[in-house]
Amino acid sequence: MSQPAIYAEHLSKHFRSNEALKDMSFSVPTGSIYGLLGPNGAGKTTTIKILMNLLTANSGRAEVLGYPSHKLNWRGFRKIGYVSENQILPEEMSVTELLAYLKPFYPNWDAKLCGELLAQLDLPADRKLKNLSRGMKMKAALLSSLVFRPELLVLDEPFSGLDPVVREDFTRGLLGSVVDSNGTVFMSSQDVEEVERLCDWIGIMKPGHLLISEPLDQLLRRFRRIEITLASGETPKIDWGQDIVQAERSGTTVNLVHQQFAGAATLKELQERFPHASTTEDFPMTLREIYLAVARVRTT
Amino acid sequence: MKLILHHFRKDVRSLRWILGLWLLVVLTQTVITVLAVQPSYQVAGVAEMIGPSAIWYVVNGAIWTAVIVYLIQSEPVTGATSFWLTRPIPPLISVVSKLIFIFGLVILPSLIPRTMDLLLFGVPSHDVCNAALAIIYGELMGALCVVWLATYTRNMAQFWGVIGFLCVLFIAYSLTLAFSRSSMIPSVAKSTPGLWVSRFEIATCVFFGGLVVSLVIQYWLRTIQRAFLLGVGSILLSIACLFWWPFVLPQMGIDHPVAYSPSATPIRLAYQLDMTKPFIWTTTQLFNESNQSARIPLLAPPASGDGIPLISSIITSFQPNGNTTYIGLQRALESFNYFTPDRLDWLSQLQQDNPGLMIEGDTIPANEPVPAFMLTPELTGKLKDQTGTLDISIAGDVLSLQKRAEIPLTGTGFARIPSGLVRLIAVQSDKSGMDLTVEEVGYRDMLKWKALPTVYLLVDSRNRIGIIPRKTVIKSQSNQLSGDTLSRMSAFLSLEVRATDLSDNIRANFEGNGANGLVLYVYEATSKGPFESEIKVPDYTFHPGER
Repeated sequence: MSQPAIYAEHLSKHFRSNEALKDMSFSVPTGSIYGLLGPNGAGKTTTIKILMNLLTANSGRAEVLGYPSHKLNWRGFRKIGYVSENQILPEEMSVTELLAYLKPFYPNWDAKLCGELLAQLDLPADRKLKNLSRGMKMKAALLSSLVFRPELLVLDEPFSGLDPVVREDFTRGLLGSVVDSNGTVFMSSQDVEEVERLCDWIGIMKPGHLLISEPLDQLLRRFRRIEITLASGETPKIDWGQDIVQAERSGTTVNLVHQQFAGAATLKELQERFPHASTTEDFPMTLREIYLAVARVRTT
Repeated sequence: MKLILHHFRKDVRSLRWILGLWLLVVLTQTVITVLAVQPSYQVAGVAEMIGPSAIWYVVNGAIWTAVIVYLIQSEPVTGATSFWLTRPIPPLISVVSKLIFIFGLVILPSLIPRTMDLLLFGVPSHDVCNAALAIIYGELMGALCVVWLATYTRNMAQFWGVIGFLCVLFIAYSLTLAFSRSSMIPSVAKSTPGLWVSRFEIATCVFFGGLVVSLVIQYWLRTIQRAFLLGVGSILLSIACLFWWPFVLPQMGIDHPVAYSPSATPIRLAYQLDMTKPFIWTTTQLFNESNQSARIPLLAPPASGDGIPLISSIITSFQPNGNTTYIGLQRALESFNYFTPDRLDWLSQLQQDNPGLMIEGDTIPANEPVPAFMLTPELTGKLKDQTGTLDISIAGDVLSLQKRAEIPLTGTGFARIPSGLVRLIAVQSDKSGMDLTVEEVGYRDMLKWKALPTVYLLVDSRNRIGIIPRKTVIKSQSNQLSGDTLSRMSAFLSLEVRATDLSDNIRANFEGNGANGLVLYVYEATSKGPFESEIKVPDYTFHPGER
């Protein structure tokens, strides 16, 4: 088994009395596209900043491409691309100047890819960054982080505030380069659909805590919405247990979100719990539904 | 090296406009220097320093600072913008290329007009080299301060905001110092922030103290550990700044550290504001217009010793009906403008009763009544129809003889005074009638006056320079000295006063009068008072109506 691109163990970070991260552990397999979901203030950016050595954790440790994150320096950043939502770019430079400046610092700079991405992202090469729109700036930052074929690309809220066209360009550029070159992508986002579309690993945070960290397909497999139709007048009192993260009753219909769905075995178990149920059906859930179910239940 | 040059080129490209402006300023300054339109040595009083020359230096300094701030903030060396921190740019490359930029494009160009200035006016080349080294050293120290501050501020506005904050600290410090010495200083000074800030070095210390505070405040930009390290660095550097002037430069073999440097203007200004003299005499005079005579009993000088006092400041304040009103603070040189022959002879009597007392001020003409105290028009206007207390304070240095050097007029002998800079304050002799031209070695201005073969030189206690209005020194001294009049002259002199530097004409004058050469007395300001007992002070009669 190859070394994970990112490995974090018991990370904690507090800002005075505010605990931003509490005992957070996870790993990001090499070659995966990992999406970190969570509400505002969940600690996504803090996590990324710790990984990028922009902040120091109060406890715990993390490794990025084998480097301890707190020792990550320019050598490590030859293989890491980092783009964040509100990154301050060298505004006085044009896109071309920026790329020309950065080129000598990256041994793996791919001039051909640079040209392709420049065209694909439709960036005005000679315009100064300060004269570009926010979306264009994001694309420029992404471009400058992709052209050296990074082993790890870290994106902090890359889609925030981008219109659908720019977003599409962005994701095409992203997928077209990093994924093709077997790089790892670690991104934080609140855009669940985009994450579901791009990522194959998912992490879900609530403030300070990482609730879920696993492959997307596994997540989609184990979460199921189950609809049980009860016989009229039945009011069962049931201990839902740990596996049911959400349960709603509407008339004779009970809707459950089961987080350890195991196919027929789970259905059989539920039928035993509801012996008078007329039907018991399971439905696949989208990532959005899972995210909402998890977020609502665990944060209340 | 390739990457350093690459980085350097990027900085030049990105800062080409502000850099161009800076180089234009330097070029203008060079042209002005060559054309001698704007003397770089504006050794002047406060009023003159606030003039065009000071504005020029403010503009110059502002652009100098802006270039460095832009350079650092465009890509902080240890800074806070994640874009640069997550790029594989080795810090060493960044630091070295920026140092090359600062040294090569900011400091060295600023050296051009200054060294040209010195060369054009005959400063010996080795002195120019020394001065250049001193300028570079000073500018590097200054640049380092700017680099640090710029690193921890995000933009130009924030940078100047912090500077403003530090100025507030500076003023607070001034006020604190003023009040802590309240028993020594008159009320006028307490109401005038900054007057009692005596040491440029302490200001530097406060600057760095403020820097430490700002670093600690902003520690979250990086980590507390790094902020702590930089804070310790700031403290160490501030300590170095406190001591670099008297100790470091002489050890580097630099004798003329600031003398040739226009960048010394802030130091001169600080010195000019230096009112913490070894002695301060204070008197309080009840003023009542109906009773137009009064007595000024000066307090005793603080200690005994073998020096001579040099009055450098006279401060007056008036408190009508118990309310303090600041009236004026004049250095003696300016105050002496208010001493005229037809006024009462208090000051003269003070001088006569205390042999050896030198009063720093304008030359007293021979065969005229000794000058007396006269109120300024402003003071007179404020006093009119008022009843209250008039405070008069006199402050000054006490000088003690440090070195006596004989300079023969023939041969090649010369006296080397062990200091980077001396201030010529007095010419005295028991002979009269000789014309002497004393040349400031290496300076553009020649001091010409009818003088006598004994010259007193003053070395400030910290080897710093004094501020002497040029007009007083140069213009008004000619043919006004006599053998029995204690007079004073002020000028900057080089360390080496060579007899061979005197012109043939002067030498002939000396020889014609039977003199063999010059005797230089070098005095140093000390804290020891000159008198065993109380200084004799004549009665003082005050006539506010007179002008």
